[in-house]
Amino acid sequence: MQILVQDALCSGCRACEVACVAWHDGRFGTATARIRVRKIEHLGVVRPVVCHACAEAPCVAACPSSALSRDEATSAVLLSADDCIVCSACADACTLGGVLVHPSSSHPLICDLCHGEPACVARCVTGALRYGSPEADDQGRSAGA
Amino acid sequence: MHSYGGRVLRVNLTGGTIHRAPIEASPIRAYLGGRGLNVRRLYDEVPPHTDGLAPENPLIFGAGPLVGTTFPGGARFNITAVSPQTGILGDSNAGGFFGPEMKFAGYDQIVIEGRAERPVYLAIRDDRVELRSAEDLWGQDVWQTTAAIQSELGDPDVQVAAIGEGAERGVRFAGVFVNLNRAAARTGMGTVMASKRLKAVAVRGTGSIAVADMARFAGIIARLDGRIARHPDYEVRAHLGTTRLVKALDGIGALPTRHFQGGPFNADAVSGETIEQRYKTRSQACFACTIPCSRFLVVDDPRFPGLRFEGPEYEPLAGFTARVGNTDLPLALACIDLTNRYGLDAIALSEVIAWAMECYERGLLSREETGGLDLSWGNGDTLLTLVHQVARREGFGDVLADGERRAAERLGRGSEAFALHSKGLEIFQADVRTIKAYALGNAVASRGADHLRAEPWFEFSNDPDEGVRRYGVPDTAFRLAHKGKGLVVKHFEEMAAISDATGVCKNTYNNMEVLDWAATAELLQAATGWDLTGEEVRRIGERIVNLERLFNARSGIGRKDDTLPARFIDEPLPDGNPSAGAVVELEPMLDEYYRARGWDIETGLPTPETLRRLDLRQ
Repeated sequence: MQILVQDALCSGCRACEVACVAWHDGRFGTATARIRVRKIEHLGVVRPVVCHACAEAPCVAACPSSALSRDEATSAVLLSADDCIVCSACADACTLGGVLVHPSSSHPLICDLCHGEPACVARCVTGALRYGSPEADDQGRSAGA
Repeated sequence: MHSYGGRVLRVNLTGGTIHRAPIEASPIRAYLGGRGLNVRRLYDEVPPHTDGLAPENPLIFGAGPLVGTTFPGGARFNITAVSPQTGILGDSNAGGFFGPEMKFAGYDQIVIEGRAERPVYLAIRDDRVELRSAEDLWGQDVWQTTAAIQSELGDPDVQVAAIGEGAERGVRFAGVFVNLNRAAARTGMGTVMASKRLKAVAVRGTGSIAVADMARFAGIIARLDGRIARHPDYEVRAHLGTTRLVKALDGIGALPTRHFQGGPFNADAVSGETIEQRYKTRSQACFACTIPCSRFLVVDDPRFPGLRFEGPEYEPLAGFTARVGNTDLPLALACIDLTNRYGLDAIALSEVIAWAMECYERGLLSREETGGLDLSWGNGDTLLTLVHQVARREGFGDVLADGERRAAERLGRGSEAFALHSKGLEIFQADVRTIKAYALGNAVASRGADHLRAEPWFEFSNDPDEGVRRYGVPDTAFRLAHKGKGLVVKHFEEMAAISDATGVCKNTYNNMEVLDWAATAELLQAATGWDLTGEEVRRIGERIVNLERLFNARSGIGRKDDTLPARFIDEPLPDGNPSAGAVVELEPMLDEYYRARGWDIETGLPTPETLRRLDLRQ
C-alpha cells in the first residue's frame, strides 16, 4: 500500500501538506510536511511528491546508521531520529524526491503513512491522492514524482 | 497567542530600519486581524489629509487568525493604506498562498513606511528580514519579477507579492499581485508600493501556528467540509468559479453591456462554460481550499502564441467582453493576461476604456484626441493598444491612467455624468438596477463603489419566509425590491468585515453562508481560546465598518458621497431587458440603512451613542 497520486486532478491547494503537519506536529504549517506539492505556476504544472514506499527502498539501503527501517504493518519507511546522523544519504539516494528535509533539524522527512490512515489522503477533496496498491490501481498511475 | 503568528514587522524604507514587535492583544481582541487590524492602525497612525503617494502613508499587509489553518479558503490577506486613486480608505484583498506564508514566518502584520532611495524588495525568511536591491527588477512585469526573486533567493516556495510596470509609471489603479495572477487590485495599493520604490515583498515561513483546541477545531472543520460539499452551488463553483456569473447575470439582464447601455450581446460566446470547454486544462485552488474554483487555461490562438494563465475571474472577463462590447474571447483573455502582467485593476481599466468608448460614440472625443485610435465598441486592436498605453502612460492612455474621476474632470464636456464610479472607485461588472441590495452596498462601501464590502446574496434567494425570519421584511428575498435592503446590507457588511478580518473567502463565508455568527464564534473559540459569543463576533464586524466610516469622515465623506452614477438612478432599464423598467431607489434605502446602523440620517455619520456602544468612544 502506498499513496497514489494523479497529478491531473490536483488543484495545488496544499491541504495535504497542512494535514500532514497537523497529524504529526499538532500545528498548522507546511515546512515540515512529508508530502510537497511542487509547482511551475506559469505553466500550470502541479505535482504532489511523496514517498512511494518502494519495495526495495534505496533510502533504507543508503542509510549508513541504520536509522531507517520498514513498518511491517504498512511497509512505510520509518525514521529513528536518535540513530540519524543527518548525512542526507537517504535524500540523495531517492530518485523520486520523496525524502524531504526538516527546516531546522535537517532530519529527513519521509511519509510514514500515518499508521495506515494517511491524513493527506483524507483531506484531499479532488481525488488526486488515494491510498492503495499500485497493482490494483485501475487508473494506471502510481505515486507521482 | 493562539492562531496568530504573534508579531508585527515594521520596515522604514527611508532609513532602512527593520523592527519586530509582539502583536498587541487589545486591538486584536477588538478587530481580530486582517482588514480590521489594518484599518485600526491606519486610523491611529495616519494624520488626516495624508496624500496617498506621500512617504508617510504606511502600506499595511495583514493576515487574520484563520489564515494558514485548515479552514477551506483561509488564505486571504489585506493590503491597506490611504488610496492614491480615491483619497480615502484604500484596502484590497487577495487569496493564493502569500497570506499563509506570512503567518508561518511569524507575522500577522507587515507595516511599510517611508520611501527607499533606490528600488528595493523586502525579503522575509522567518526571522531573517532584509531589503535587497530591485534595480534590475524595476521595469519588469509581475511574472518576470516573481520568477527573478524566487531564483535569486534560491527557493521556488518563496511567496512573492509584486507590482508591475503600471504601478511604477504611476497608474493610480495599480494593484499588488501574488501567485502571478491573484490580485489585490482595488484602490491603487500597487501605486502606493511603487511610490515607496518597493518592487515586491517576498516571504517564506518555516514555522507553524498552534490553535487553542486542535481536536475541537478539526471537528468543526470536518462538519464545515460536509456543509460546503453538500451546498447546491458546490459543483458549478468547483467547475466554473465566478465565471458562472456571465450566464447567470445575462439571464437577469445584469451584464454591463456597452458601458451599461444594453443592447444585444452574445453571452454564450464569452461564458465560463465556453472557456471551460475550449481552454481549461485543470482546476486550481487557493491554500487548503476544498472548492477548486480557479482554472488554468491554455489558449490555442495563432494571434496570441503561448497564451496561458490561471483565471480569469468574472470581473476581468465581463470587463473585457460585455462592458466594452467585445465577443472575441481569446482577445479578451489576452487583454486580461496583459492587465495582470502590468499589474493593474481590471475593473478600473475596463471601465475607463468603456467610458472612453461611450464618449467616442457620443462624439465627445474625436479620433485626433485619441491619437488616431478608433474607439468603436469591441475594436480588438484598440483594446490591446489601450491596455499597453494605460499601463505605460503613453498616448491617450495617459488620460485614463489617473482613473475615471480624474479622466472625466480632465475631459469635461458632460462626460462626468456617465463616469461610472462612486467616491472615485469604478463600479463592478453587474448592473445594480437589477440588484438593489448590491446597489446600496456599492453606494455606501467604505472603499468606494464595490461589491465585496457586502456581497448581499440573500436578495437572490426568492424565499420571503426566510426574509421575514431574518429581517422582518419579505421583500428582502427579491432582487428588484428595495424595501428592507438597508437591513440586508448592514448584515452582510458585518459578515464581509469578519470574513476579511479573519482571512477567509467571501465565496464560502458570505455567498454560501457556511457559518452563522454562533458557529463563527465557536470556531474562533477553538482557534484562539477566547470566550467569544456570536453577538460579540457580529459587533467586531460592526466596529470595523464604523471605524472605516470614521476614517473616511476625516476626509469629509458623508451621506452626500454615498451615491451612484445617475445612469443607475435616473435611466430605467430598456424594454427587452429581463429587468426592464428598473432603477435604483437609492434615497429610501439609504434612510433605512443609516437608521439600522445608528448613523445620523442627515449626515450619514455614526452618532456618539453608536460609537459608545461599539467602544469607539469613551
